[in-house]
Parts: sequence; structure tokens; C-alpha cells
Amino acid sequence: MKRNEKYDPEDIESLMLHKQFNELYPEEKEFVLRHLDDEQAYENMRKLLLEIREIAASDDMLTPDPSIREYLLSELSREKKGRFSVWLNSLFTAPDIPWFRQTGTRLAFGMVILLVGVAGMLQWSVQKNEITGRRTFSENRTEKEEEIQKTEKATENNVSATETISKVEVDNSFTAIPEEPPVIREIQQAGAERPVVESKMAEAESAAYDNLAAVPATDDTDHPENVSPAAGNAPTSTDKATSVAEKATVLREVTAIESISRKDTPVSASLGDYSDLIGVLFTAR
Amino acid sequence: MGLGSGTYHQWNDESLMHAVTQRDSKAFEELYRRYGKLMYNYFYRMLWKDRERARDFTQELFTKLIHKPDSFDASRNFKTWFYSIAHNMCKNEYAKQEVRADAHAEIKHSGRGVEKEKADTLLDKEKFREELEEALAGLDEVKRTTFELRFYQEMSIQEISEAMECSEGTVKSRLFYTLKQLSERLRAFEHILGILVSFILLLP
Repeated sequence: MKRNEKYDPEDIESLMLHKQFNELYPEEKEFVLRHLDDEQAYENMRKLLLEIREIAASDDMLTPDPSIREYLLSELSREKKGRFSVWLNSLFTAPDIPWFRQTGTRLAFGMVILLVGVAGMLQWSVQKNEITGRRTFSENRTEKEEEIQKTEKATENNVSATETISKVEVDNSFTAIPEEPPVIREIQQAGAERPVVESKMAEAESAAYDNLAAVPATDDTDHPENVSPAAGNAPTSTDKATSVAEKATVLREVTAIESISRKDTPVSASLGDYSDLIGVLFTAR
Repeated sequence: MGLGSGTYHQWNDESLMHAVTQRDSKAFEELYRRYGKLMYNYFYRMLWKDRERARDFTQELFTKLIHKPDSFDASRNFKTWFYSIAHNMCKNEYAKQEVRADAHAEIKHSGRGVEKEKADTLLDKEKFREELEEALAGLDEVKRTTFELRFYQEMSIQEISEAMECSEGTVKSRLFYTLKQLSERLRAFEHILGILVSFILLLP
């Protein structure tokens, strides 16, 4: 029958560290001699154990090279940086589902994500274009509204401009305009009020043609003062000739105004477009 | 963890390892402070006292902590887990070095030659130490590791059993028989020493 051991071999180690063989209790000696040959073996082992303890305690531990620590810390920081990419990769490996373990399924899953991503990008791009288009449209509309407002304002001013023109027709003392008058500029900007101008033009044309039919031909109609002596001998009076010349001048002015008013976009008209009108105004009378 | 960086030295190994899995460099530094020197010396002793090899192995061991911190089982004791990795690394190295025994035999032979030349210093403790180291080197890998962990790394029987993944009884048995084997060998050595000393003393 097997006896229940009170000690283990490890306990022999403990006994050896603390007691010589002759210090052991009888039951301890019995236990020791069951594992060792004799007292001498116990003492030899005890000596060895004590020597080993002493050697291990006195053994100076070597210090590792500091470069190991530096290398490891740099490796750790590199690992930290690479963590994002690892996380990104884990998107396709994370789910631990049986059907997802197949490579084909994973590839298909990846493709679906890719397609959804591309579709999302395209949709976003289209929406962005639409928003941009609407914004441009509203900006253009605002500009047009401003233009309309300007036109309306200019139309109001044009009434006074027409009045001024009629004043120019009547005012015989008018000699020259030092520079481009503000009235003309307003007409340029807004465009003439067509009905008014046309009615003036029609009136002036009819009057001029009526009178021209009655007046003999002259060498220079633009300058009535250069009318040939023969004209002075004409059956019509000098006053009448002067009147006709004035009307011709008005006709030219009206023609010039009309040419400006026909411009759809007054803003885009260059100065050359008004050269006729300026010429007329400067050479009036 | 909710603790300041200044208290890392108060954390236990397992908490530090958990922080290392979160890439906490301070926690890693603390673990290295605790185990760097121990592991370096363990590898140095287990791998034929080769400093370069000990350096490489220590570096490799801690690099494993960095790259695969999740391999640590939180239910286990960190120290024994860490030593088990180190032990496996040594085992792999032994397998690679198949010529180790032959090479060791050559070294042993040359060592004996030196011993004879310096017979007047045989009683020196240093000589006993050398003989012990030699005797340890002659042990098989398992016994040697058990002995190393017990007496040089000062691990308990339970810790050794976890590190070497065997029962505590096996560890105790291995230790006892290793001690007995060494003792017998050293006794023979001392007997030879005794004869040599007597011979020297009898010389005119």
C-alpha cells in the first residue's frame, strides 16, 4: 500500500537549505533517505545547493546594450503610425462569420463597397454641379434685374434727354459741345426710348424732305454758310434756307441717336459707335 | 487605465501589457525596465554565454510584444507567459544548432587542458563555478532550463510549471534529479581535486 508522502522533492531542497543531516527529525531523515543514497549524498547536495545560491546571488547581471531599448522604442512608434493602415485592412477581415471566410465572398464584399463608394462620389459630383448651376443662374438673374432697374432709370432720364434734344433743336445759340454731354452717355447706357426717337425722326425727316424739295441744291449742305452764291439768288429767302439747314442737322443728329438706340447692349458699345453723333454735335451750326 | 503616466511603476505586469496593446509607449518602457535585463541575462546564460546572440534574442523577444501584443492571454501571468516565449525561442535555437553538442565537447576538451595547466588554483571557488557551469551545459535542455529558472531567475515551482507548460510535480522531479546529477558529478570532481591537491602537497 502506498504511503501518503508528507514531503515533496522540493521540500528536500528546503530542508537542505536550512538543516544539516544530523539536524533533521527522524521522519525527515526517513523521507530524505527514500530519495537519496545516504547522509553523504544529502550533504553533497546541500553543499552544491548552497554554492549555487551563492554563485547566483553574486553573479553580476549583465546590462543590455542601450541600443536595444532605442531600437524597440523606434519600432513601437513605427507600429503606432502603421496602425491606421492595419485598421483599414481589417475592414475586409474583421467579420468572423463562416460564410465571410471565403476569399471570393470577401472580394465580392470589397467590390460592392468600392462600387457604392464610386456611385456615392458620382452622385455627390452631380449634386454639386446642380448647386453651382443654380447659384450662377441666380447671380445672372440678379445682374439682369440690376440691368432692368438701370434701364428703367435710364428711361426716366431719357425723357429729360429728349427734352434736352428738343431744346437743342430750338436753341439757335448753340455752337459747340466741349465734350461728350451727359445726355448722350445716358442714352448710350440705357438706350433711347424708341417710340419718342422714332416719332422725332419721322417728324424731322418729313419736314426736312419737304423743305429740301423746295430748296435748290447746294455745294455743302452740312455748312449752310458755304452755300453757293447761286443759291442766294434762289427764289426762296435766306431765312428759309437757314431753317432747312438746321433741320438737316437735326436729321443727322436723330439718325445718330437712332443708330445708338438700336444697340441691344448699350454697355458693350464702344466710343467709335458714337463718333457720328459726336461729330454731328461738334459741327452743329 | 485612468492613471497618470507617473504611476506606471505601480502597475502590475498584466496592466502594463494591456496598455502596450493600446500602443502605450510608457507602459512598454516600464515593462522593458522590469524584464530587459532579466531576459538578456537569461538568453546569455541559456545560449552559450554569447552576448551578441543574447542581444539579438532580447530584441526579438520584445519586438514580439510590439508586433503581436494581442497574443498575450490576459488570464495568464505575464511573467510566466513571457518566459515561455523566451524558452521556446531557446528551444528553436537549440534545434537549429545541431552541431552544438560536438562544438561543446570540443570546448570541454580544451577546457580540461587548461585545468591541468593550472592545478595550483583548483581549489579556488572560481574553479568550482566553472565546473558547475560546465556540468550545467552538459545537461539536457529541459533540465537546464528548469534549473536556470529556479536558481538564476528565482522563479517559484508554480511559475516554472506555467512557463514550461508542465505540471508542478514534473518541475519538482526535474529539479531534484538535476541537483542529484550535478552533485554526483561535482563530488567526483572534488574527489579528483582532492587527489590532485594531495599529490601537489606531496611534491618536494
